[in-house]
Amino acid sequence: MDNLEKVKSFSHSIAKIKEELHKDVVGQEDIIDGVITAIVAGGNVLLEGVPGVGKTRLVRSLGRTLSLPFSRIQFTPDLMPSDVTGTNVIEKGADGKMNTVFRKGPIFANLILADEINRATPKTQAAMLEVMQEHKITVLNDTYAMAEPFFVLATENPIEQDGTYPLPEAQMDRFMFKLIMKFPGTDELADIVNMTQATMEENATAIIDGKTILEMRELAKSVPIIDEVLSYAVNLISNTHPELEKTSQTAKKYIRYGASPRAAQAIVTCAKVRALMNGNYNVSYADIDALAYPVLRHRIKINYAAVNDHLTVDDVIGQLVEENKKLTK
Amino acid sequence: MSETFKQLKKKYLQSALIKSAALGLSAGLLSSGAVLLALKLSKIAIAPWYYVIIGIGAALLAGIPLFFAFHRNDARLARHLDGEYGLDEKVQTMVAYREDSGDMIELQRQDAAEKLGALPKRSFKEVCKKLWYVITAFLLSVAVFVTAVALPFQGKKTPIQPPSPDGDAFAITPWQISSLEQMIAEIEDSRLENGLKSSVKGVLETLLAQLRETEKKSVMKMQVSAAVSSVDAFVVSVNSYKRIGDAFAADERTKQVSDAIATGIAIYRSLQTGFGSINNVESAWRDLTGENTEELGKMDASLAETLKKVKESYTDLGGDGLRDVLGGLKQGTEGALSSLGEGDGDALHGGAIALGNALTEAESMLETSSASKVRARLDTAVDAFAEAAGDALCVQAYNCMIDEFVPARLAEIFAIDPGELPALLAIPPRVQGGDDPETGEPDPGTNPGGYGDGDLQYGSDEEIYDPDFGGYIKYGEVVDYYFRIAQELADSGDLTESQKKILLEYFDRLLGGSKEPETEK
Repeated sequence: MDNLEKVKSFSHSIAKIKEELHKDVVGQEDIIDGVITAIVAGGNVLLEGVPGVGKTRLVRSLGRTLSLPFSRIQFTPDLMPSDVTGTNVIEKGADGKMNTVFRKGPIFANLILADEINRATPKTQAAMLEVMQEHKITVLNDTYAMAEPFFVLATENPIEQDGTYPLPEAQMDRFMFKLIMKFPGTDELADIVNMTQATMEENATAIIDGKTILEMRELAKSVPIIDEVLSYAVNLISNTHPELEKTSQTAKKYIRYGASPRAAQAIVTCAKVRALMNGNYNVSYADIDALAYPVLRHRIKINYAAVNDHLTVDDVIGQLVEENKKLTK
Repeated sequence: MSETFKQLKKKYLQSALIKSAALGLSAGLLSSGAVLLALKLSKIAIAPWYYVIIGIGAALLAGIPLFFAFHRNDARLARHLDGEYGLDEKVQTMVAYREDSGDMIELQRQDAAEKLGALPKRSFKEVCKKLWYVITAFLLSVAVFVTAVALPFQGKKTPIQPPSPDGDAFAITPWQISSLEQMIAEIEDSRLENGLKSSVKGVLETLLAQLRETEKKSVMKMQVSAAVSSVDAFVVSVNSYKRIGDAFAADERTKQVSDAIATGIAIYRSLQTGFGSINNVESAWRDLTGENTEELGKMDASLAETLKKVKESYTDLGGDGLRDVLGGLKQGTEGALSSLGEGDGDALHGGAIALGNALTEAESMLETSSASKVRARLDTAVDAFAEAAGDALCVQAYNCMIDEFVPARLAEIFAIDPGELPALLAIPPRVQGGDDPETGEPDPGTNPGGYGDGDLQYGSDEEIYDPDFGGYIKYGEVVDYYFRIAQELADSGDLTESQKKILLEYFDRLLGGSKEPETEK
């Protein structure tokens, strides 16, 4: 298939993926879009949601749709790094000799669901986050690369704060998106009940493979972005920093510290993917505005003034976006 | 670049041209209409081409910047299209990457072109709705312009000028008052003899009192003219040089004496360029009299020079020749004195009387004394006359200088053209052959009065400027009018009896007129 055909089929493929996922997941359009965008863009997602909203089911269905091996790791406080990465074990060989064999851990998959990552100890979190960033692990001087595309969807449970180890900001920054899975509406809940009453089986089927995802990733990089839109995106990230001389009023008032340059990279990369997903061949201001929330909500820290004014992170991001529109356009 | 985009670009350029032209035209119509309306309501008319210039100027001033404001380059147009039609920066991307190539770029370009091609055509209603401000501005400007043109002009068509003040209004200013008071003080401090001084002061004080109440410029000029004439009349009545000079000129044998008097009195006119200030008068006096100098005064020098001719007429003569000359001088002098009658008793008359007596004495010496003694006696008589005449003529020349000072100063204070003031009868003509020190032209001479054509006698045929007439007319044609003013002044009770007498006698002489003396001119 030549590039033109690939481009033309990109949005078609995405549509098909969404269609398949909706066979197993009711609603959660934003989450599905976000997850697909992150996978194509080559990033990882931090998913926050109460138990039972379908996080595991989503990732599992996604794995099936993309024909990618899926792995679920339930993080607990006693989970060791080796439980994630794997470890060397001594086995008796066919020749009867005792050999050291590396047993791969659950991390060796394409799609990983790291459930309740904030329950693991910082040491185990670090092992997980290393592989997320570098797509390889090192065990006893041996380095093992992860199969591409490699995607981690980590979850945080917002309810149980006891016995948790909140991820440090530097590590949070390694997640491309933070998505918040909300409790479904009554209609959606009814659909979930009806669907699961009929069957608990997941019905999504394979649509594309990992190689195609990688091709789509490369394709997305070639989506053009004009200087004005790029400046718009860069200004949005820059305006999250209250310490800068030329910054937004929102940042000065409500933000303690702003997003890192990874945020700018993430927003532009994902904007290109989003454009293609929507059947567009260029990045627009709307793409940047839409991606501001998932890209920034885990990267900026609001201050007490925002809390005092009963503002959430998303409220502050909303103000940032509005102010950026006025300043830039 | 997409053909559709190029077409849109052309379309927007046309739109920019049309909108800027329409708004420029509206500005032009509105400006010229507003100005026309305002001027019509103010009853002021200006040439029509002013409105054309205003309209064109306003149209250009509005239209040209508006064109640049409406006109969009490719990037601006792309931005406008994306915003107007919600194209998600497709057109801007297409324009920005027009020089690039690649599969994605090509797809984007095609996508943008398709979207542009699919843009809905605006209905006429939509276009009008979008251009409501252009239509409104145009209609408003047309309404103002048509209203302005249709409104009838109700005022008199006059060139656009501020309303002119009353041209004849007069109100004496504080400066004029203080200047006139200063002038009166200068007269008071002058060398005029008391009688003349009092008369001149009286005239000026009366003039000041009148001018405080005067509200018309024409009346002011008449009053100033009357004052000048009054002063001139006083000087004429006081100065005897003309009468005495004419008396001596009646006899050819004493014409040289007359010439000496005429030359002497006129000498002062060559000493200053004008007598508009009292300083000039005093400076001329000093030159005339030799005051404060060791040099001979100009008057004495002139008389000595001119009376030398008298002496030369009998020098080296003796016997019958001397008798004839002496007899002629005596008879001529007696004839002059006879015509003068008792005279005013002034110094010049006294000098003439003394000369007559000396000539009689010299004649009686012819039988008993030698010719040289007789000649010596004659020289003494002539010298005595020169001395007496010199003193008298200096005083009379001073009176003439004051007579010139008064109109010159009044003309300056009240901004009157000196030509509008009456001619001065008291002042002598310039010395024959003498040039006007100001213009270098020969002095045409001042008519002493009493000239006319045939049987019709005017007080003077000199011309003066009549403000009511608006031109120069013969003095004789207005002397009656001036006389009426003088009569009013005399009847007003502001003059003393002697001043009244002098004034009325003056006009009596003017109105009577006299034949032109044969010896003059």
